[in-house]
Amino acid sequence: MVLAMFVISTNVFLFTISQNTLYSQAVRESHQTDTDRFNEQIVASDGNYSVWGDKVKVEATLTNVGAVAAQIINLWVFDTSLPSYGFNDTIVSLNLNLNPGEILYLRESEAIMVSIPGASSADIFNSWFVTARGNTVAVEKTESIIVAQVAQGIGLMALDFMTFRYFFYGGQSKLANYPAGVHSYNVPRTPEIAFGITLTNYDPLKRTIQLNQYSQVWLYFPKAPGQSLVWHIVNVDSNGTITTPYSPISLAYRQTRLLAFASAVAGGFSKVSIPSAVKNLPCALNLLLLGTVGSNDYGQNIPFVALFVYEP
Amino acid sequence: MYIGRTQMLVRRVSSMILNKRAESYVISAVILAGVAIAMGFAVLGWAQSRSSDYASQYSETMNDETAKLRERLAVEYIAYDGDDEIRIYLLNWGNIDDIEIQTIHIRKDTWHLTTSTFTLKFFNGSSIPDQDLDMGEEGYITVSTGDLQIGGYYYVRIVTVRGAVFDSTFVA
Repeated sequence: MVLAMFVISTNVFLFTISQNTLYSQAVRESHQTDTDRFNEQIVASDGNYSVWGDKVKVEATLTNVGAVAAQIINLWVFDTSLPSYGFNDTIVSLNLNLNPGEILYLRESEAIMVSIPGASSADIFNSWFVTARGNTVAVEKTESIIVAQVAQGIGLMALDFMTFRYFFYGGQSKLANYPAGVHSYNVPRTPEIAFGITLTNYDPLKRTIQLNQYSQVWLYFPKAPGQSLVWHIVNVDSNGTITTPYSPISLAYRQTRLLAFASAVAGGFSKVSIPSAVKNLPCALNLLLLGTVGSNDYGQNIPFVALFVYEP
Repeated sequence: MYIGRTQMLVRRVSSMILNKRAESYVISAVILAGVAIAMGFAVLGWAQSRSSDYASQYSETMNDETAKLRERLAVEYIAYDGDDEIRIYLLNWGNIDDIEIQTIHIRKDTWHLTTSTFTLKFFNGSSIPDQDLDMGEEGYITVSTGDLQIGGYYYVRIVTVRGAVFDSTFVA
């Protein structure tokens, strides 16, 4: 009897200890979960907003400065001007996962669209990402001083030097490697090429800029006087097909857009050939932009890019 | 002399055999032992049953507490649309499924609202069939609040069925 009672009480004691061990394990796991969450640190910088219809395009640079890997599952955008909000929780399928130290650039085609009916480019936006651990990461906007510098010192439109590219023609009216192109400042004389230039509208009055058919890329060769070449702006669909006649391209305030310059004639399309007289010569590239800003006329000349035309 | 001793021995043995009182001592000893053993088993059974109940209750409590410990809810956003209701957007980022919301408390100074009548919906607006959030699942609830003070700072407390509590705030 005494033995039986001893066995029972020992069982109860051991069971209690095993349950307490399980609970302690759960507490440890819980603390680890919280610790991981506290250690998760994502910085979202270089935020930029542009509006396409009812969609707000958010560009940002995500950097994991924490000690644990992180996954982005949602992006919220708040339009303080309306006020209204929207989110895009389908970005979880984009695998926006960052290891410690990793940087993700959400720009151009990788930018995230969030639907906010009624939003306009003149509105003020705030946004934040949500991670799988439930942390929120506010997007820090690009310094507004850039807007002032660009607008007062250069003009309303800024050229993204780093994304300058050229395309080969593919077929009669198509750009073969659009939109990726070739990122280089050395360009072949043959076969014929076209240019891709990324522009951003930084008009401080937040007006929309519309580019007409006379907007063009102009090359001139200091060592070959009299030689100048022109590529006019064209409309290109997502497959690289050039559509004619040209219809004006609009850039809303803060909107960044890749534009193609591919036609020898304004408003239509014909390929541009580079003559052999300029082979193996350097040249200056000027971007001549014409059109309207809001209800006013607009004209701007953007230099900065130099090219070398080599003979393949 | 010798005969006398033998006779005495025979007499003693026959008296022992024929003694009815000596027989009841044995029976009573057997009965006593039986009762004691039976009582022992009864006590043993009772103790076993009690310890089993205790183990079961303790295990259940521990499981509940462990499940509660694993619950994690994050508030992604709380929106007051000026139309007498707020939307609370939630994410289950914990290690356990089936987080069911029992009560929502909204408070500002002395004003306090408690509600348990709401529908949990996916972010796309469709109702969540099991009315709970599994791991990694997002959902929102709409709470009728009446008129809130625009610009006012409100506290929100979300209590789950398992008893976990999650706090957040918003500006109306």
